[in-house]
Parts: sequence; C-alpha cells; structure tokens
Amino acid sequence: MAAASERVGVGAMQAPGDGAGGADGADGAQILDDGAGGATGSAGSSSGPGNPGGRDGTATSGTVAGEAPQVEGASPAPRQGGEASASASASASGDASEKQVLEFALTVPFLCYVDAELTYQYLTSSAECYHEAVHTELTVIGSDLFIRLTAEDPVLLQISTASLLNQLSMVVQTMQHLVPAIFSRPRPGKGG
Amino acid sequence: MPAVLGFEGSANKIGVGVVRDGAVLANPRRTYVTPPGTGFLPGDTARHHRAVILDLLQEALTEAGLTSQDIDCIAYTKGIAGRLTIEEHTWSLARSEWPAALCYHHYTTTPAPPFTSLTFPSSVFPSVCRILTPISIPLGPGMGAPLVSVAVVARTVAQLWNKPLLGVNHCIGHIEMGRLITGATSPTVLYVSGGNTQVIAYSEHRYRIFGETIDIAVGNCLDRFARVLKISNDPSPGYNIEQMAKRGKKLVELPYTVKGMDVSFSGILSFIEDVAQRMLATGECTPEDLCFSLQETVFAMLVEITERAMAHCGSQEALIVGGVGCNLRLQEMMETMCQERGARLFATDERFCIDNGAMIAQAGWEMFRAGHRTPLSDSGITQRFRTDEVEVTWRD
Repeated sequence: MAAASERVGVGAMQAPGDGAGGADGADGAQILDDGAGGATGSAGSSSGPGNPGGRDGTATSGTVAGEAPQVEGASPAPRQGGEASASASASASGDASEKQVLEFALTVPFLCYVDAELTYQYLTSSAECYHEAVHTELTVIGSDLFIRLTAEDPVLLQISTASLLNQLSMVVQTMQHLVPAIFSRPRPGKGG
Repeated sequence: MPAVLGFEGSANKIGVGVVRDGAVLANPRRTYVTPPGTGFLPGDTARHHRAVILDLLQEALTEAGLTSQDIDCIAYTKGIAGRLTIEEHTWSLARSEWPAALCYHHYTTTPAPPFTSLTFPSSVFPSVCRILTPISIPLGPGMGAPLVSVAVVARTVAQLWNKPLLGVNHCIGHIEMGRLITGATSPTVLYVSGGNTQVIAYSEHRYRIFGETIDIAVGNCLDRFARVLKISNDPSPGYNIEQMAKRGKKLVELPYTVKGMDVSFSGILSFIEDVAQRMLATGECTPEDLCFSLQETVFAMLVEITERAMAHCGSQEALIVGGVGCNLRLQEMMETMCQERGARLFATDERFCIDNGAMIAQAGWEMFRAGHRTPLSDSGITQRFRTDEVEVTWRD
C-alpha cells in the first residue's frame, strides 16, 4: 500500500435547494466510469461498514448533529472496488430507541493521489452547512477517496448523498474529458 | 490580452463563452425545453446541463481556436439576484412611497440599511405596518442544482488547468455584455428576464437597484401565462407569446401595478389565469388578444419605472438586458419613451440578451483585470446574490 497520506475534511453538506421548484430530487447513486475506479454508491444497501482505514475513529473537527455515530463492524482497512454501504447505527448517546443515525459511506479509488486530492479539494470546498443536519467526512488515503455522510433525517441524507454523487460524477467526468491520458494508464497494484 | 472562459447555467440555458479584450471569440449555448404547459424543474435542468456542458466546453474552445494554455481565467455564475429579506422587502415597499430624492440618498449607501435603523415619515407607517404581518416574501430566482452543476465543472477546470477562478454575478454579466455590445457608457439599465426584473443605475462603484419587482419577474409572469394557454416552450414561451401578440386586436384591461419605483406581477398573473379560460370560452377574446393585452400592460409598467429612474438620475441612455429584452414590442415602447425624453435606447439581440456564457466571460474579464479572484474556499454558489453586493472596481 502506498504511503498513507491522509487528508480529512469535515463539514456539513448542503442539499442544493432552489428558488422555484423545491429541493432537488435525489437522482440516486450514479455508477462512476471505470476509469475512476467503478465506485458505486447506494444509500439503501446495508452491506458492511464504510469506515475507512487511516482514521483512528477519533472525531474530526466540524459540526455534527448530536453525537458522532459509531459504525457497527467498522473495518480498519480501506475497501477495494468502491463498494458503498449505508447502515443505521444507534446514537452514541445511549438512548438508542429514540434516534437512529443513518450513514452513507463510499470509497472511490483513483489512479493516483493527485486525482484523489483534486476531487477531495473540490468536494471539501463545496461542503456547506445544511441546518447542521448532515455531517460529511472526506478522507484521502493514498489514491483512494473515502466519503461518509451521516444524518438522522433520511430525506436529508438522501438528498445530500444524491447531490454529492452528482458533483463527484461531474468532477470525474470533467477530469476524464480534459485529461484522458491519465485515465488510460494502468493502475499499479490495482489490477487495472 | 487576457482571455476568459465563462460558464453560465443558472436557468434552463447553458452556455460556455470565450472573451478576449472585448471580442467574443465563442458563445455556444443549449436550451432545455420542456413540453407545453410545463416549466423546468431544478433536477431535470441540472441533469440536462451535466449532459451537455463538457461538449459545450470543447465547442467553445474549438470555435475560439484556443487551448487551455491560452485561457487566463475561468469565470462562472456564482449567483443570480436573489430573494429579498423581510427587511429589504419592507424597505422596497417603503421606498415606493418615499420621495425619489430620499430614495437616491439612501441608495448611495448600499446595501439598504437594516429595517431597525430606518426612520419612516408618518405617511409611510401604514404601509410599513401592513408589511409586518406574515406575508409571503418574494423568493428570488437562482436554481441551485443547475448552478451547482456548472460550478462543479468550472472549478474542476480551474484546478486542472491551474487558472484563477472568478465567481460572477449573473446580473452584472448581463450589464457588462450589454455595455460591451452596444457601447452604452452609463445607461439606466432595465434588466428583465424569467428570473429578474430590476431597474439599475451605476453609482459610486456599485450597480444600484432603483426599482424592481416585489414578487415575480416579468419573464416568469409571461412564462406562467404561456403554460395556461399551453403555448409551446420552443424556442421559448416569451418568444411565442410575442408572435401571438402581434396578431392580437383587442386590449383587455388588466391590473396595472406600479408601486413607486417598483412593480408587481403576481396580481396580474393571478387575474389573467383566472379570467383567461372564461373569456376564451365565451368568445370575449382570443388567445392572441390576451397575449397582446398582457404584453402591453406589463411592458407599460416597466417603461414607467424605467422612465422614473431616468428622470431621477438625469440619464440620457437606457439599456435593456435579459431574455425579455429580446422582445421587439418592449424595445419599441422603450424607444418611444426615450425619444420623448431625448434619450438613446440600447438593446442587444438574442445572442446576448438571453443567458449566455460570453456575458459571464465578459464580466469575468473586467473583474480579472481589476484584480478580483475567487478562492476555492469561496467558490460555492448562492441563490441570493444581489446586484448591488458587488463592488464594481473596474469602473470609475
């Protein structure tokens, strides 16, 4: 594994509202082009955790609604292949019967650290507070970008997830369009 | 000789333009057209923009004969006009009853002072008290999802090409393009589109809003009326209303709502939506008559507030910008008013009236030369970006 260069960005994601027709409807997860690693995101799957390695589970800076959720079965190693997961976990406050914190987690493998870093910078700069209700965490480890959204409100989480995935897809498409040579290189150690 | 690449996609038009030293090198555009009787929704519009923007980018570069190395700056629409806060809405209503001289004095200190700091003459109090009851605050335009879709690409391009980024106010884009194309020096600007209706004049490094709609934009009024009659949205509902209006013969009396320096269109829209079907069913008038009547009424309102602003400023130039500015009847009515005042009217054609990328590039070009830059951390979008929020440092 490449030397772990880790960047963590935390913020609250804003769902892009609009002045005319209400909030943007969730488009659902988009399947990214294989040149970006074929990452797939789905807010509805319950497969496994998405807690990326490289973070030791300590809380990072930023705002969050309520306690930072502990993801059940969190794996210390980053996932391969961009498997997305979403799981409901009890609030760390202990009163599990009252609040459920929903989570969407996604690993996006890039061809190199530069691409992951560029995407990270973009997504970090666009993350804005949305009533402090959706907590977004972004981490770059090596050439992988880890994304984690948590919220108690499933609707807000769905909207934010769709928005983020749309933006992620657009960033990757733009990179592919403008620098196609990068995406045609075989990825060392990734079976590309 | 800086060359600026501009991205625009705040509504249903998406454009990418290239401008260098006052020359428009490229300006391709696509329009998202919905079926008759419907409008465009943010999610669908954003999806359309995402599907075509990269092709438009390539088209613009090819048309301009430039590569990424030739581009000096990336500009994008950061926001478009915006909603009035309760304080600003109160101010705008109060303004309609103030003497024009007082209005001008306060508008040299922009933005408008907070509500609590205003002292109203006693004659204004009744309207102020009315406003303090819960009302629906006019919501400004600016569709978040399409704006974000375009901003994503602009920011990514800027990072990949290592070029500075500039967030541009949509309205200022219209104004700067209008000034470039027409050569107007310091006009009173009538900015009319589907999302905005403002009368603007430049003063002390800001584009000051002298008058505006207190609810919906004039273009929105026309577009929504077009839905009532199921008029086609291709190429645009406003254009089709204009063509139908040319065949209208009967003037139907409609509510005429001018409040001092401001206008209101929601009432006339409600009225005409209510009576249209009845009048058409009884044969009192034709759809062409309704189109004609609506245009005549709303355009007369716009001419009135523009003339009022010109009289106050002593302006000898008027400039129409925005998609509704393509309307030849509006241009004709404005021309008549200007002639009576001994003033000149400036207007552009559909290439630059309607939202386009080159107008963002042109405003970006001015801002770039004046030293403006938008850091990545501040490169989001906003659905509330008032015209007078921007310090116009590129003009004296």
